[in-house]
Amino acid sequence: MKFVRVNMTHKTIRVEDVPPEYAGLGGRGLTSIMINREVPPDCDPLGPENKLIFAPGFLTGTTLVNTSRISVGAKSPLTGGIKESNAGGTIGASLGHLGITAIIVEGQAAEGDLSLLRIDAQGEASLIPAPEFRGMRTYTLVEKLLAAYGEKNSIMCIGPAGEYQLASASIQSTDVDGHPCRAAARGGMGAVMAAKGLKALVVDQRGKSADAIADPAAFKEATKVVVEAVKADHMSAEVMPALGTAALVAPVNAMGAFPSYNATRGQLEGWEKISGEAMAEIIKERGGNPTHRGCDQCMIHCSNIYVDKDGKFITGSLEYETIWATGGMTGITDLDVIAQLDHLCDDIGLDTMNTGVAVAVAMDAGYRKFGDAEAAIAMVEEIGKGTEFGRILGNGPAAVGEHFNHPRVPAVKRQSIAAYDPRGMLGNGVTFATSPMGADHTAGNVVGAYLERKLDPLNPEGQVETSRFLQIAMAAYDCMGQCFMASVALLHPEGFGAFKKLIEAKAGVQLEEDYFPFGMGIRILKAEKEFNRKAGLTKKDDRLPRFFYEEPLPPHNKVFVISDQELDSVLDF
Amino acid sequence: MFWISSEMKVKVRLFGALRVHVSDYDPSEGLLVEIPPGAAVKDLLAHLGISETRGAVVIAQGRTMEANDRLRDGEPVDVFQTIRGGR
Repeated sequence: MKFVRVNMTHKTIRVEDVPPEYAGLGGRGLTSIMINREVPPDCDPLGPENKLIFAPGFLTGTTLVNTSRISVGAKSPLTGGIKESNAGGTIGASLGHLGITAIIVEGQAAEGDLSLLRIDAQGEASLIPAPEFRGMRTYTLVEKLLAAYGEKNSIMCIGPAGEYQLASASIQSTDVDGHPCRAAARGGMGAVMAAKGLKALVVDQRGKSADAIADPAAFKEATKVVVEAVKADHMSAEVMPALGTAALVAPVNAMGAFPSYNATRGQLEGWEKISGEAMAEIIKERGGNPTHRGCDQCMIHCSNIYVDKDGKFITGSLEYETIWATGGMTGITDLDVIAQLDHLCDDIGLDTMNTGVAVAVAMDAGYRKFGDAEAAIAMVEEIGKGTEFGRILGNGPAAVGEHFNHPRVPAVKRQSIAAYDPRGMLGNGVTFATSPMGADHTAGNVVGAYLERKLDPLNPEGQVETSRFLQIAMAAYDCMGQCFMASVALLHPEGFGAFKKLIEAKAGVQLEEDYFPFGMGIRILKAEKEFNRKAGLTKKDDRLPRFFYEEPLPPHNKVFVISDQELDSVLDF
Repeated sequence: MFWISSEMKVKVRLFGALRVHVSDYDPSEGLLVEIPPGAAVKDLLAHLGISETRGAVVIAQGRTMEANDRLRDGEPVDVFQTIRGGR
């Protein structure tokens, strides 16, 4: 349990034991509470006062399955508020195996100065000048770094979009095959990393100094409960391995809530061609892998390897939100084009969601036509090249809307919505509006309640309560390093009880009965809300864009009807 | 028992991991299922041999249907497996 504090101004590294005020925290809980405590809320997100925190989950590095997630936190240059961006891959586990609770990047390197942070198998951290990697895209960068430092390394890095300090810039994370196709994508964390003068983290995977477990027997017992719950869940055990998250295309479209053509319709013409079912068939036919293990310690295998007609790798794990943003929103129904756009975003270091939606807003504004695949690819390439328009596009949908004076911008706190239209799934609109992160698909995604018929997606009743419960539960799970797929299989008292026991067994403490998820989740959300308030965000920022209240969405022809007062009550703890 | 001459015909499309267990399933055609008039969603799922543990959900006309909702002759339905949101 140690912090690695890296000061980019002075090029110094200090390793310290985790101080008591951060005890028992990991992942989003650690990044958010630390940002609220240590980062001046009014600071420039791209200045020296901001801190970029890499924190694996509290249980990452243990033997628990599905726990190789890492949280990346900072003040966001996109939203102007607090941000936790969550990535899979291998680096979470690598840091966990070294007993590193967080890497905290502080200060700012001199302009033009670029470094990488290397952490070896003994946990020794060093800053290494990296001017030769300036402007390099992530696939080439990772190839060079793995050649230099060895295959047994995990990498998080930025591409050109980060170096241009664009608000949609991601931090890419290597998967088990060493492809930089996992991403801490949301909120412009890549821009913050670039502003620090850091191009990459290179962490050895062979660490053997993980935190000790206080009560290994109890830990093992609680682990069994988690494994059994994940195995028994048809989503994690059957649907995810077969189709991955792309399985959502068909049902969300069928429910009329698949925002299409820049959220002007709830169903996409030609959706069958970009469904999870179609994707799995294409991948199988071509000899790719529809059931791929993307992250360390994963037992779900929701990932996939998408290949071209000759069986050559195009991208790793084509995901639902990406297919929607670059496909549904743009009217592009060719999976090969979508896969190429996904690859481009990963390579340039971009959030596929913010980027796809930015392209869609430009199309809606008349800049190009919906469905124009060549135009979409050319536009994303412009971001990579750093052209004037590319920089507007790379700052996301709100920037594009401002450029074209186009009001239909499906974003909250300047972050694009996800693949669930608030008019067809009211509760997702509640989460988009009120999450301290901006519109977000993992912070409290209500889609499951609709498919399970626990809630009517078009009836306001119960939406606020469900969003609130999920936002609390997901905030708590985001601290554990556990992936979303496993977390949603554990949204019940048995799952919560198992996690309380896991925390107790690791830390050797006794927790209050409702600590997980309620005590922990609410503590995190309060810290995030407090930071946002101090950073100048107001209730007006917890609203959906006007058009969701005014333009009925076909086929149900409904508008968003949750009142401002109800929205203000969601996280009013 | 089966003196009713005209069974109800329901066009069914399968999604998620449900179709892999139906041999020769053609995604573009779906299945034409013949079931007694007045059959409900739960009868259709039983007819298809889809157990409750697989989280099946039937959607027709943009709305999710309850287990006891009756199907209508000729109305196409889609059968999905529930999912709780993904990245």
